[in-house]
Amino acid sequence: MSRTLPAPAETDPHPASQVRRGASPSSLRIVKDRGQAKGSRSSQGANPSRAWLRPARLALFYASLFAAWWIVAARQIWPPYLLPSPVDVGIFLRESLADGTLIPAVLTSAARVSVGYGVALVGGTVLGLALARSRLLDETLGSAVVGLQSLPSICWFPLALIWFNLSEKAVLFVIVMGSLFAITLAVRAGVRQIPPLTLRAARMLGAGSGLRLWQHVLLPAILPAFLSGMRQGWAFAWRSLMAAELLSQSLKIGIGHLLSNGRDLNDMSMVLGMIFVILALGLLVDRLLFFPVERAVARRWGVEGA
Amino acid sequence: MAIALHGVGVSFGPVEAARDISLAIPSGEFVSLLGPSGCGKSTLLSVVAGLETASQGSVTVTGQAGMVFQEAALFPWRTLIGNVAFGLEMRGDRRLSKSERLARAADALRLVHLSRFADSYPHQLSGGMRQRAALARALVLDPDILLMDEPFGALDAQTRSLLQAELLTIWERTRKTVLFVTHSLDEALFLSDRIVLLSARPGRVVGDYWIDAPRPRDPRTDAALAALRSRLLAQLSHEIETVARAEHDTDWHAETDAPRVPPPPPVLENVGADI
Repeated sequence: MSRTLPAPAETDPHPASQVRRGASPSSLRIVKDRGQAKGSRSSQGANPSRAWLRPARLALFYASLFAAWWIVAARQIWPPYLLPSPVDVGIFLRESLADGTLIPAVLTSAARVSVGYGVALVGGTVLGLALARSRLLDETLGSAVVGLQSLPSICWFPLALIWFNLSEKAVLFVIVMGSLFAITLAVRAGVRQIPPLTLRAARMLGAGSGLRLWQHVLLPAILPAFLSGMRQGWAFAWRSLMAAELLSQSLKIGIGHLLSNGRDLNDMSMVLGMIFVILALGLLVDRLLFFPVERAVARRWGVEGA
Repeated sequence: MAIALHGVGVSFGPVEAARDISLAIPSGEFVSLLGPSGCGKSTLLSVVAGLETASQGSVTVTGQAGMVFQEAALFPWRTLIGNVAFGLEMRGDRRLSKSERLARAADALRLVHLSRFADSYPHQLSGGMRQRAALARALVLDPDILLMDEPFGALDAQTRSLLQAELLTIWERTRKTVLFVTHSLDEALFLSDRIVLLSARPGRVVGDYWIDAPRPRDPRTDAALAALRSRLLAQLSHEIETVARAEHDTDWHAETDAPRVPPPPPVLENVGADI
């Protein structure tokens, strides 16, 4: 702040309040730094205006996207079986809710991803901690984990089909392989990023090196990294499940199957509707479950990306 | 003796950090380890703390030691009072109930004038406040020895002199043995009973000075102190030059390439005076 403020009389640490004061030359300079042409108009209560501007912009963007879709569909530039109108998609979603196909499919998929993600979470955490604490393991198994992380999880599906036939186990296997390594790597990175000084301080304060060190220092220290790993793992698990369901027709109907059915029936409203459902569910879990927790912890830990 | 070192040498592989260090520090004494950067003074402190082991010689430490590092290294997931109470929890002192632990932590925070911020998280505080909290975290365990590894090195000048005065007040009240690592001559002069000067790597003891000037000290008004300062400065400059020579090309000469600066005016940021 001080670099642009020649006036020693006004050493206010908050540039925003400087701007609000208006006419002094120093405030003019800051306004210039910020946004060239806007001048002093934007300085009027910069904070409250920012607060609603972003969601408003977002809402406007999506509303226009939706409107464009609606208009293009209404003019029938492409036939409805290629591009149905939003109304058709809405009707499909309402009907599939009413006739009891959507909810059971959602529950089936949710059950699959819960089990798979749960297994990956436990396995990934244990594996990540092991890699972080043992150099031998890290140099051997660790390299394999890094390599396997770059393999798209659906590549495991043919293998799973041969090992487990077309069964719940096969789908589960794909989910676990899809999210296990992301979690493993996040946990490993979390432990490695603990500052050595934190460990020295803990030792000087009597935390020892056993259970108490883990409970009171290591685990809390890796929590932010662990949470972002959990979040990433969730995204991978959800994608893996959808890929697996698209390729496994004869199992109990999940939402990936409904999407695939839409294609088989040449029902574009169904395809688009299911894409929305899959997108919405993935986002919902991320935004309502993982994101708030991750942000709260990052705030408390003071590791927010500013 | 609170701390006794006999012929201590520390090596990390081929790197010899310290050689043949013998030092006896009676309890209650405030001793500064002064030396150029990389002279092994921090390593020596770690050896006394038990965080590193000496390759040669013997180390005897009588009593518990607490340590303050160059960075506060507070635990970001705990409030200040939680950080200060951490050591009490870890020592597993069964006699202390949770409320007693918190009461003691609160006392320690009061000692460093941070009571108001007991419920703040470390990232909400300034560097100086964090460092005071780190001091409270060490003091709450009532250690016999306080090991300080350039604790004020990362702070700005004003904050540093404030904390120096605060440390002195606390030390005068508690009379703990303090082993204080610094590369600032003025800091050492301002604080300590005794200055142990270490050479460039491998660190050896090349000077051991007792200072009996009354506190608060100011070389501008105390002629004896000013004389000691120039003596120490000459010796320290020699060691710093040795380090510099090792880090420059062979055609570098301190006299010609680094124009000799007149000894810096003995500005000892005398705390409180100009703040």
